[in-house]
Amino acid sequence: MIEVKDEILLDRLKNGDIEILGTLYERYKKQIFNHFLRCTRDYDLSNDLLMETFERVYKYCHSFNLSKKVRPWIFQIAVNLLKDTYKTSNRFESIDKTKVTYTIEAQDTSIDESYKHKQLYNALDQLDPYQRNIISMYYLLEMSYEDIATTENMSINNARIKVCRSLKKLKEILKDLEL
Amino acid sequence: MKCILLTILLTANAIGFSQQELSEYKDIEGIYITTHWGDIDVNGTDGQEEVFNISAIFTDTSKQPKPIDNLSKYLKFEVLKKKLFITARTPKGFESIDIKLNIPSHLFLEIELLKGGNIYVNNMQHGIEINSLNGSVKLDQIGKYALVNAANGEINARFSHIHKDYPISLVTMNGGVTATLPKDTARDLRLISRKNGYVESDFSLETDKKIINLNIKVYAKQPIINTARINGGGALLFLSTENGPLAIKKTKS
Amino acid sequence: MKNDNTDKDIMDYIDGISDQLNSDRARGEAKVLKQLVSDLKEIPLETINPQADNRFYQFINEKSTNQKSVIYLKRWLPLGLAAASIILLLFVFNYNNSYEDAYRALNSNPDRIRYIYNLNGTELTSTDIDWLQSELKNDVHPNIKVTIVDLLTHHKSKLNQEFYDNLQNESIPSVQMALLDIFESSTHVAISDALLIFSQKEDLDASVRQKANYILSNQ
Repeated sequence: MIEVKDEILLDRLKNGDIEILGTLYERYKKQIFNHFLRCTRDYDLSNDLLMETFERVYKYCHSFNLSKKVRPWIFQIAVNLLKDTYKTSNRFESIDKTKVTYTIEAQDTSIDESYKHKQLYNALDQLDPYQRNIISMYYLLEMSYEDIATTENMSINNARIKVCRSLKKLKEILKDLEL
Repeated sequence: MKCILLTILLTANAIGFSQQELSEYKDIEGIYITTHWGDIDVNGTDGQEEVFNISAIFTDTSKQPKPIDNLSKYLKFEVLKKKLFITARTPKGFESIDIKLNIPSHLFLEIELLKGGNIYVNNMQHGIEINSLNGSVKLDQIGKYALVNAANGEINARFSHIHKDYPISLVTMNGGVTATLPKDTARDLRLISRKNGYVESDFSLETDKKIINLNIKVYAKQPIINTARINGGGALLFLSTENGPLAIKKTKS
Repeated sequence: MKNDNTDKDIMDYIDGISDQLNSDRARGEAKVLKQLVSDLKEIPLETINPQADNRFYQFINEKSTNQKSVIYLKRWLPLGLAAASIILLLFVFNYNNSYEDAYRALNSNPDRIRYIYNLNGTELTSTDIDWLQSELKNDVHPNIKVTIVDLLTHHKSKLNQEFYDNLQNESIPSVQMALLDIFESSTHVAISDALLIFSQKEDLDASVRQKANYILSNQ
């Protein structure tokens, strides 16, 4: 099946075809939800944030410039929403590990791989929220350094450096977990 | 004569002048240009003179113009819903692409210049929206409406005609703003010049309060913030600068 | 600075752009981090529960129904009944949202600018101000944003903490300047902190930084 380009979908949304929002939702919900989940470790909150992301996509689609790419714009809405949520709540100061446990789909992965994923999850938990957010933007949302820089109000080079340092920190934590 | 033309063509090629026809896009309704560094020159063509082409000069970080064999290496052309998007590639360093377009004057035009360059538009009749960072914006013989935002650079917009219901908004941070309008234009004005400004007007203005240095070309230290009307008022004409003068002129018929 | 350059080179290596790494140590580190990124990408994604999906599709249904009401009114009522349709809209939508919902129905940037400008001289509630602040934060069109800031200049006393905090999110220089003009003439307690953080941002236009520092020094 040929996938209709995001920009065409958004143009239709701008012209009032709200059903199109469903297509965009299906396309990006998993990535965005998982970004929220990785950062907040809270299923309910992540669901709420996912919902609000697409409400905002609908609300602000009229101001979207079709010469730009839709995917980074949607991800930026999600990331900004998370930032707003951080500002208004202290709930990410300490992670409530009882809220989310890592689910392993045993039929798809070997035990070794499952263990590796679990270790990575634990290590991500121990990163500070800012670094966790940066890493997730980089590898999960696959945002460009330019988009990360715009979201975090820094230069593109700085965004590169922050991603690198967050990865290094994650590596250190993993090493400690293995000891 | 042939030798002269050949010489010109070879020279043009040597400095990277490459023209591409755009007539395959003749069914579009608007053009959206996004570039980083470089000047943009758009000329609206009409009637029998209507042409539709683009040319560009590429200058790399060593400030040497280079020949371009293939515009599509530097510019992306995409059509979405009757809109042609022309997007310059992300620059390496300070490379710049100067673009010259000859396009039908009835198209809507939107330009986004992300880093720096001057913009010149002539004879585009269906509305213009421009967002520019560094550089001047000059619009000549344009029609319907214009929304222009510049950071550092003056704005000079001359209208051959305007749509009575469409607002015009010309906003910059550093530089003067001039709007030249048909003499029967009726508008509600919002005039803002935060410093080093004065207001020049060929129209008689009904104002909320006295305008500092009206038609006196002396840079005022205090902010000039006024609401006014010309010819009884109408749609919005918003002229704003942080630093520079404002002018509302009449087109010389 | 040297470490920064190494970090950049490491990321270029991870992203497959180049492998110009200066030392074996850096190369070793880059390989480890590249593997780490690959491992991260392999973590299976959690699935969303069906209730969340249902909630979303319910939202679409609601909006679709409301939209059809609006489209019907716009198409069939002549201009002379525009006043009657506004009253009808006030029954259909919550009164506090009437400006916002009418704005949503607009399709073009000139229409939006005209609409915002025409709110000058009208009485705006705190809900309207919240909506305008939200538009200011989320809209990308600079001329619309400047028009909103100009409107909000007349409602300074109703601007809340969020308005001042949102200075950090603004990246368009002319809008930043317009916001700073409000800051300059306001006495809200949030101003100094917001300005201090803002003035230290990287990539700030020199004129904007100068203005921010000027306001700070006169606080």
